[in-house]
Amino acid sequence: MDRHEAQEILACYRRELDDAADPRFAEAFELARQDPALGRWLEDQTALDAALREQFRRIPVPANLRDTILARHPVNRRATARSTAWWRQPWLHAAVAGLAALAVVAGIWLANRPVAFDAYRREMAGLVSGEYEIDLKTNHFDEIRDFLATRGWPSDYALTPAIQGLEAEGVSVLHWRGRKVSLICLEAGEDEDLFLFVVDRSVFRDAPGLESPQFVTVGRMTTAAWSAGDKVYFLAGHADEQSLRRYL
Amino acid sequence: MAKRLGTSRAPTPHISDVASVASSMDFEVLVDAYYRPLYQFAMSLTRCEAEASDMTQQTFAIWAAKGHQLRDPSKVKTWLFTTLHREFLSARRKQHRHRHEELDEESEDLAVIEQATEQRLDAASVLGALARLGEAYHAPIALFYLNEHSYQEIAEILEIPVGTVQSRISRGKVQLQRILMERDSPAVAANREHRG
Repeated sequence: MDRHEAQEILACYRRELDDAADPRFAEAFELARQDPALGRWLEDQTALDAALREQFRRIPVPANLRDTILARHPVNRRATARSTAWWRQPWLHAAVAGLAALAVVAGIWLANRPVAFDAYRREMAGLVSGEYEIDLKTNHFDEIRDFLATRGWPSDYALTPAIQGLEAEGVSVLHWRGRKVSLICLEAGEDEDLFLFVVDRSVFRDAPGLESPQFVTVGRMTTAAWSAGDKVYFLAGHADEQSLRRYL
Repeated sequence: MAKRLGTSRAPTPHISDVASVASSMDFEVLVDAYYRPLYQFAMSLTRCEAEASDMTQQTFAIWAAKGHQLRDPSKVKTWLFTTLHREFLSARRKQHRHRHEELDEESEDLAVIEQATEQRLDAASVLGALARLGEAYHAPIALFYLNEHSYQEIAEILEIPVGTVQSRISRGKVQLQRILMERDSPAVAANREHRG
């Protein structure tokens, strides 16, 4: 690899998304370490990329765009889940089985590729913001843990004392991009459901820190995410941040 | 048999089934999650607020009509961006303004970045510089800087091979940096013209 090839490769590198250990990037980075001119170019390039990225992020979005989109499709706020009963049709079971097989193959490929936590946050919050179903309905945390352990899903999690004080409603086992995610459903009060997702920390290249939880609002859901041990915990509910903090 | 549990208490497909998750996504959550990056992508392609707004709205309209067909929840974002990009290309074709430019396959050295170029940037000037790029570079460069997608996803959105995405980004960045430097330093542009 010469300097020009290394520049072409490094020009495509994004610290937040790309894996520096990828052999293609690693070789170019090694060259940049050995070549002071290339190293300086990389520093300048990184600074300019950061500035350009910031400007793309700042492209102003019309204040009324969100409401305009939602106003055009009021019935679709939940309609996608209600519109079809495809899962009741027997011929689709075979298709689902086929998709599941594909998901296994894709999962093996994806399992080696760390992903961004923000995508997980948005998709998990989206998942429980609408309609959902659980695999096992039980009020007993021990049964939930046994259910997950016997199926090979993350079960060696540590619940906070406040969460242990809540009433469990049940558990689901999820696949997300080839990873196993445990979903523990909790009841925090009358019609106040909370959802705790547990997944291995190694899934993410930018897992939440160990020090303090990250609070982010996704649509109408308030979410908190934190790491402990080798697990990432993601709590979502319709409560506000202050209420959610009580369970951490 | 799994039991139902949910805020709406209505019958639903199984949550753990990969094929069912996309259909349970809340439209409003989806809009909240993606309308900003979709609009910013549209704006970087069109540089026209009205056109970008229309394309973003149209993308969600198509989702509302066809989104239930998507079986893999991890593909929702890629699906939306692909749809928006197709809408952009379709609109361009209708306007007969689609320019076919030969890509400059000549190897170009990456420009030396003038100090403080990054300090003089703003969104409008970046979009202006983007518009001066060869058309083939617009979308790859915009998606690169919007920082939402892996290279595999960008390739799926633009429906081109990953290798092509990477070479267009690399070459597009060379062009973009030169445009930005020429804007900052007319002498650089004059010198380039003189040499050309």
